[in-house]
Amino acid sequence: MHVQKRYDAVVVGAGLGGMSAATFLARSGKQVLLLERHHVPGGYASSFRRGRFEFDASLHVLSGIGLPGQRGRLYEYLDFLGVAGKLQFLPLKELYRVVDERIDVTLPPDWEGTIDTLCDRFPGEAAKIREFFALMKRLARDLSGVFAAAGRRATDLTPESFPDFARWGMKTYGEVLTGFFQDEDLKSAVSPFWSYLGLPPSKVPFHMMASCWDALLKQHPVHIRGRNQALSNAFVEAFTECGGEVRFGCGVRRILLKDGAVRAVVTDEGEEVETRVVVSNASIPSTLGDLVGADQVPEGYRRQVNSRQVGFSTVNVYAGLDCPPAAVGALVHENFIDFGRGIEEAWATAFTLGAPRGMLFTSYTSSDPEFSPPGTSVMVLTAASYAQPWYLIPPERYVDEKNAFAAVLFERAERYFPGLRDHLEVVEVATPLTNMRYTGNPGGAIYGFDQYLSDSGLLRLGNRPPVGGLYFASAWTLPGGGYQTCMTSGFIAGGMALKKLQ
Amino acid sequence: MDIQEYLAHVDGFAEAFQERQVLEKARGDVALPGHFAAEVIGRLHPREIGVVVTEVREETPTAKTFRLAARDGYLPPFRAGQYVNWSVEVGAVRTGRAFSIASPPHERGFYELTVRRQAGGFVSPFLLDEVKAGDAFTISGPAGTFYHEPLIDTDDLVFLAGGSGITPFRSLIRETVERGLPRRIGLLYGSRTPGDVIYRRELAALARAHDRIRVRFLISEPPPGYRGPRGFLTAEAIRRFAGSPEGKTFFLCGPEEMYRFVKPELEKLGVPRRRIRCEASGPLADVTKEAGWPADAEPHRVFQVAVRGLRTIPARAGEPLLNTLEQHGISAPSLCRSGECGYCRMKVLSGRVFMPDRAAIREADRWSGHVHACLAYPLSDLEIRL
Repeated sequence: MHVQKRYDAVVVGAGLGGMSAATFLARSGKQVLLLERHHVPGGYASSFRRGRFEFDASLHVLSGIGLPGQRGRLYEYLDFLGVAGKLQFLPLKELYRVVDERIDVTLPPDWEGTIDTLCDRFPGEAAKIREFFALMKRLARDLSGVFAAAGRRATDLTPESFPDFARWGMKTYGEVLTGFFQDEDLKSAVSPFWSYLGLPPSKVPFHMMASCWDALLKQHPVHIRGRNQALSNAFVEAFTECGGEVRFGCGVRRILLKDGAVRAVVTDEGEEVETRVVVSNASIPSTLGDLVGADQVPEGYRRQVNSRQVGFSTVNVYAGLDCPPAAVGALVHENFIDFGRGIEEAWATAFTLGAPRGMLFTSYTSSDPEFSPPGTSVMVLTAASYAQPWYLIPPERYVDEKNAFAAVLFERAERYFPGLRDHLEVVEVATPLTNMRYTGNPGGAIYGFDQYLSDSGLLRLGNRPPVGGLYFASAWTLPGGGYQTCMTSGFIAGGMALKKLQ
Repeated sequence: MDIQEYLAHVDGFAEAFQERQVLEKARGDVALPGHFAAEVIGRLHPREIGVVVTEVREETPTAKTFRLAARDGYLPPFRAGQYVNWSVEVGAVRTGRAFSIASPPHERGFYELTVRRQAGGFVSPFLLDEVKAGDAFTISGPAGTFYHEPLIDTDDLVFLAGGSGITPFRSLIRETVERGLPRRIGLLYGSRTPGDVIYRRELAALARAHDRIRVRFLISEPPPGYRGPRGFLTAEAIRRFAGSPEGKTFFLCGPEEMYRFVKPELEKLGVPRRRIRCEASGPLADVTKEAGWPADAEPHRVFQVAVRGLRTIPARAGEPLLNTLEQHGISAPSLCRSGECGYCRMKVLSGRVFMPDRAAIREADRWSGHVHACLAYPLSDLEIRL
C-alpha cells in the first residue's frame, strides 16, 4: 500500500490511548499516521462475536460521561474530538451490587444515594460513612490540584496546600478504612473498586480509590450502545475525518533515533516512515525494549522502567445464555460477588492457577436489552489473575487449566444466579495470555504497571521518556489504567507532542 | 515552594519515594526478554507456521489427505475440530483456504488436512493436482470454535456430517477413542454417492472396535443396487439413528445447503439451540441462493471498486470481494473465509454490498459500514478502505 513517507506524528497502536492522542493531533491540524497490528481498533476496547452473541471484551462501566445537561470531562473531550456525537450512552441504573453470604447491597449511581444506602444498611456507622465520602470527594479534588500544580511547575505551594492530600493521599485504602470503620461488612461493601485499580485495599492508594469513586459518582456512570467497539470505531471515524491515516494489520517494528531523538519508524511491512514524533500506545517495556532498543535509553530511566511491577490481569469468562437475564436472577449490571472479607485472599490467589473466591459478574443485557438477541443474555465473569503461573503451563495443558478455572467460577456464580449453567449456549474463556495475545501487553496487564503507592500519582512514569519526540499514551503511564484514564493519557501525550511540533 | 518541596510535607510520600529507590536499586537490572509477549504467545497462537508436505494419501478419487510437518519442528496444540488456513499461490494469485485438521490433537508431529475437489474450485484443483511431498507452504495457527467444550457440551454427541464436512469429526472421533475420553459419539454422515464417502473404512473400523462410537453412512444418490441406508439428514433419519435428542449435543459440519436443510429438522426434534454447534460453512457455492440476495441483482455484472490509496479494480457481483482483491494482487488478511473470524474486515466508504446474515459482523461495525470481505458481494461501484 502507498503510504506517504513523512508524517508529523506516528502513533503506535490503536488502543484508547493511541486513538485519543492520534485524534487529538489530527484535530489540531497535524498529519498523523496511526498503525495498529490487529485488524480491529480498540485494544481492550473492542468486542468479538461468538455464535449469535457479541461480547464486550473489557468495558464494565464508563466514567466521565454523565447525562445530557450534566456532562463530565471525558464527554467534553470526546465532543471536542468529534467522537461523542457518534455515540449513544446508556446510563446505568445502579452503581453496583455487592453480595456475599453476609451482605447484599446495591448502590445507586450518585453520591447521596450511595451514602444513604450505606447509612441505612450500617446505621451504627452513619456519621463515619458521611465523613468518609466527604473526605474522598475533597481528596479527589486535591489530587487534581496536585497534578495541575506539578504540570504548571507551580512555585506558590505551601505545606498547607491540598491539606487532604497531605494527610491522607499517600495512605492505602485499607489503612483509611480501618481508621474509619468497625464493621467488616461495611468495609467489604465499599471495597469493590479495588478490582478497577488492580490492587487490594492493603496496597491500593487511597487517592486512587477516592478518584475512582469520584469519577463514577460525580457524573452518572454509563455504558455504550454498540459496546466499546462503537467507541473505538467512532475514534477511527473522527480521526480519519480530520485527515488522519490509519492502517490495520500493520504494527511498528522499530523506532529509529538520531542524536537521541525520534527520526522515523519502520513498519511491520519494512517501510520506513519519517517523523519527529512518535506516540506509543504499546506498553512501556516493549516500546523501549523492542521498538527503541534498550541501549538507546539512558540507564537511569531503564532502571526506573525495570523496577516496576508488570501488572494485574484477569481471567474473563464470556457467556451467552439462551434465557433473559432475569431468569437466572441477574438484575443489576455490575455485581461483585463473594469477595466478602476475602479481597486480600483473592488478590493473593491471583498469583496461582487457582480460581479466587470473589469475582466480578457483569450482566450486560440487564442494562441494555439490545445487547443480545431477544430472549437471551450476555454475562461476563471476571477474576483476578496474574500471567506468571500461566507462562509455566505447557501449551498442551492450557485449555484444561483455563477450563478448570472457569468451571470453578461458574460453580460459585451459580450460588447467586441459580440455573446459570443450564442456559449456557456459548462460552469463551480468556486468560492473561489471551489479553497478552490481543494487546501485546506483557503479562496481559490490563492497567499497565501495578499501581502501588510507589508507582502511582507523581511516582508513576510520566508520558515523556528521555527520548526526544517519544511520548507514552497508555495505561502504563499517567494517569493510569482504565477507560477514562487511558483516553486522558492520550490527551496528555497528544498535548506534549503538539507543543513539540509547534 | 515547588511541588518537590511540597511533597516533603505529604504524610507517607517519603516512604513511597524510598520504596521506589530501593526497587530501582534491587530490580533495575532485570529487564523482560526482547519481544517477550510475542515469544510467549507464539507457542500457543503463532500467526503463521512454515510447513512441509511429508505425505500425500488418496482417500477417494476426488479427495486427498496431506500430512504437514513444521519446518522448525514445532506445531502448536489445537482442539479437535479446529482448522488452519493454508496459504497458496495459484498462478499469480496469493490466497488461502481454511481446512479442518483431520488428525487428532495428540498426534503432535504433524497436522493432516483432507482436501476434496470442489466443482469449479480455484484452490482445490491446485492442491490435488500440483502438490506433492516435499513442497513447502505457510499455514495459519489453528483457529475456530468448532470443538467439544466440556464447560457446556454434554458427552453424548451426535455428529452430522455432509460431504467433506467429515474432516473435523475424524479428529474428534480419534481423539475420543485414542485418549479414552468419556464421550459417546454417533456419526451420521451424508454423501451423494458411495464413492464420495471419505475415511469409510477407517470410520467403520473405529465403530467396530469401540462400543461408544456408532457410524452410519447415508447416501442421497445411491447407484442401482445400493443396499445401505439412503436419503438425507432428515429429522426422521436423525431420530432413527440417534434416538431421543434429550441430553445430546449435535455437531454439524458440511456445506451451507446442509445447514439450511438440517437446522429446521433439528428444530422439529425439539433440540434446543444451545445443544447445536455448527462449523463455519466455508465460501458460498452460489450467492444468488442466499436469503436476501436482491431479486434484480445480476451476479455477472461487473462493478468498479476503488481501493483507497491503491487503485481501482473490476469486481463481479457474484464473487466475494476478498477473492476479487486477491485476483488483482491486493493482499488482505483472511482466516476462516466464512464471514466469521473478521480478519478481512474492511470499510465500505461508498456503494452497496450484499452480505448474508450469518456474516458475524460486530454491531458497531455494521453501523460504520464495515464488511467481512470474504462474504461481501458488490451491488454497485464501491470505494473501500482496507
